[in-house]
Amino acid sequence: MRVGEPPGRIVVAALSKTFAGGIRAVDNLSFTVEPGSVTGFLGPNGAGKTTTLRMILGLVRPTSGTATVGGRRYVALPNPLRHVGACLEASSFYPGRTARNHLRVYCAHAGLPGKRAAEVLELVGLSAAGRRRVKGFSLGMRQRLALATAMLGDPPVLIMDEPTNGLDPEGIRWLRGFLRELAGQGRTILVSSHLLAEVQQTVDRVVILSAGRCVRQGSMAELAGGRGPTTLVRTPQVDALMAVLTSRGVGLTRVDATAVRIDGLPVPDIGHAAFEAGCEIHEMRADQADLERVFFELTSQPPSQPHVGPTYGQPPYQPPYQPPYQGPGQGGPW
Amino acid sequence: MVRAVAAEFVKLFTTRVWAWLVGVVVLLAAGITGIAAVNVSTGDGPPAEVLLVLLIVLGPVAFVVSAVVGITALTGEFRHQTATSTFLAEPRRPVVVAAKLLVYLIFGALLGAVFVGVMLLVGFPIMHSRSITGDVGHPAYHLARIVVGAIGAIALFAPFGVGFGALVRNQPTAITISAVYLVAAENIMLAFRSGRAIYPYTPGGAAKSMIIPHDRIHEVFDVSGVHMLGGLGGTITLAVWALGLSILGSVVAVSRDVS
Ligand SMILES: Nc1ncnc2c1ncn2[C@@H]1O[C@H](COP(=O)(O)OP(=O)(O)O)[C@@H](O)[C@H]1O
Ligand SMILES: [Mg+2]
Repeated sequence: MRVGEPPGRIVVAALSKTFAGGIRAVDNLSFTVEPGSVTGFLGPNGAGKTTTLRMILGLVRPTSGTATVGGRRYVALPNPLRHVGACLEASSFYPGRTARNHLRVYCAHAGLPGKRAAEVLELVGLSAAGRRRVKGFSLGMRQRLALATAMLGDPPVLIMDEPTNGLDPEGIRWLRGFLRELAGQGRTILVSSHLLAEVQQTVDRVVILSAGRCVRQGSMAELAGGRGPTTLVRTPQVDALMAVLTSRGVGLTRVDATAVRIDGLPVPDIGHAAFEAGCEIHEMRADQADLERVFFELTSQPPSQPHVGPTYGQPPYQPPYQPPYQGPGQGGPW
Repeated sequence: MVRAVAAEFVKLFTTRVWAWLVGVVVLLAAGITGIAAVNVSTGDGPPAEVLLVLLIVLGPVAFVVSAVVGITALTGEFRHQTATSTFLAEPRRPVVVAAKLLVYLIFGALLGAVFVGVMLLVGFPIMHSRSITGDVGHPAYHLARIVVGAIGAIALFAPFGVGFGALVRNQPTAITISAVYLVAAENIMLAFRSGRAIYPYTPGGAAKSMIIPHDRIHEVFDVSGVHMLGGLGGTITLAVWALGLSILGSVVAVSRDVS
């Protein structure tokens, strides 16, 4: 144990896992999750998210490297349920047990009074179903029960693997609010997803994984900043606009016959250029697909290529200087 | 460890499985003993003797039930994917196995007490009413010895099942192997010279020496070439089986990745 490590800090250092059969699911992965933040753990399916989270939680043995919570390996935590709450995929409930009795099992494990079961059921809005057997539960109810289990020990750290899977839009909205509230209480939250859009409204920071490697970590602003602002402009005179912008060295991509996507140029400058070129503007907006595109580009590179992301111990990736973007959309939800 | 044991008790008593098991054991014991008690004659010996023979012949059925309880306790965690939650709550996996050994030893003793108790409650009154009485030539302590030995043997088969389940991890496989082994394989073993040499140290052989009073072993279970252990030896042997399988299972199988 490292002395003086904050109880909520998760440190993953040079973690690797090679499964039987030679599949390298996680490859020399390093990142840190600071207390009091919500960190999105992102990557396409098969990137190694679940394997990493299970290694942090002592369920999967790393081939090499370490993962610690508050400076200790999970197995060395005294009474881990009071330290870390976890909601994992492929974790299940005994079908014949009621929700309340399921929670009582883990109350016993954590040395908590049985009445704590009723409290967490209330917390996740499942009080009415407490005496029902789990086999009749919907997927959404199971997710809530898993969350209730994670919250039993009132842990400072919460680790969740794709918690929005199986939730309806109402459930997802509820979960977002719930996670924000928990983060507001100063808890550390690490939440995985294969969809950036699912978590971008909730998370402060992201760790992006591709083929078992970290390709980017940093704040949401840094993630967007890596590319600068992107603006979508719709005009009948798209060729004229593209010509004038290209002559100034502005990066752009044609979207269709009447639209162009412009990288890096502040909106007033685009407006001025369009005015000079005599273009009639039908639409001009911050490109919402931008972050999703960053995410896609980061994670779709073939694993054999050298990856550009920072590695453990190095400063976060700094993109080439881009003028700060002040345009619309930046005050958005993330 | 105390918390893990408490959690195992909560697990056991918050599903209906335990009640079903007790029900099955009651029916089994009552059925077998009832049929036997109606059919025996005075020549078959006093009731204690009838009980002893019944336990020797049909004891393995109770052993299998008890072993299956232990097997299910462990393999069920993997079958229903509750192993993830269990190991999150207690990441030291040998502690989980140890807690199950203790809890299922106690529950196995409960099943054993029910099994033997029902045999006594059903068998003795029926035989009495048919004037099959008396304990001629059989000191009273034999009955107590048989009862305690049988309960102990049935009790130990539950932790034996925990250990076997820990090693095999796959529920249907573990149940099938243990049932076939206890009911058939050990008897087949007696047909071979080398089988007879190791029989006293098998789980079933050890259980038999727990049930049969040692001074009567040649009368009741006389297979040449088999040198049965004493009651204490049998108890230790069966306990070593349970512990040995648990330790082996913890090292080899339970420690594997849960994903
Ligand atoms: N138990 C396992 N045995 C073998 N391969 C596995 C196992 N678990 C995961 N993998 C493989 O490891 C890779 C990463 O999987 P996973 O961690 O589940 O990714 P994610 O959660 O990001 O979708 C995948 O290629 C997957 O097939
Ligand atoms: Mg996954």
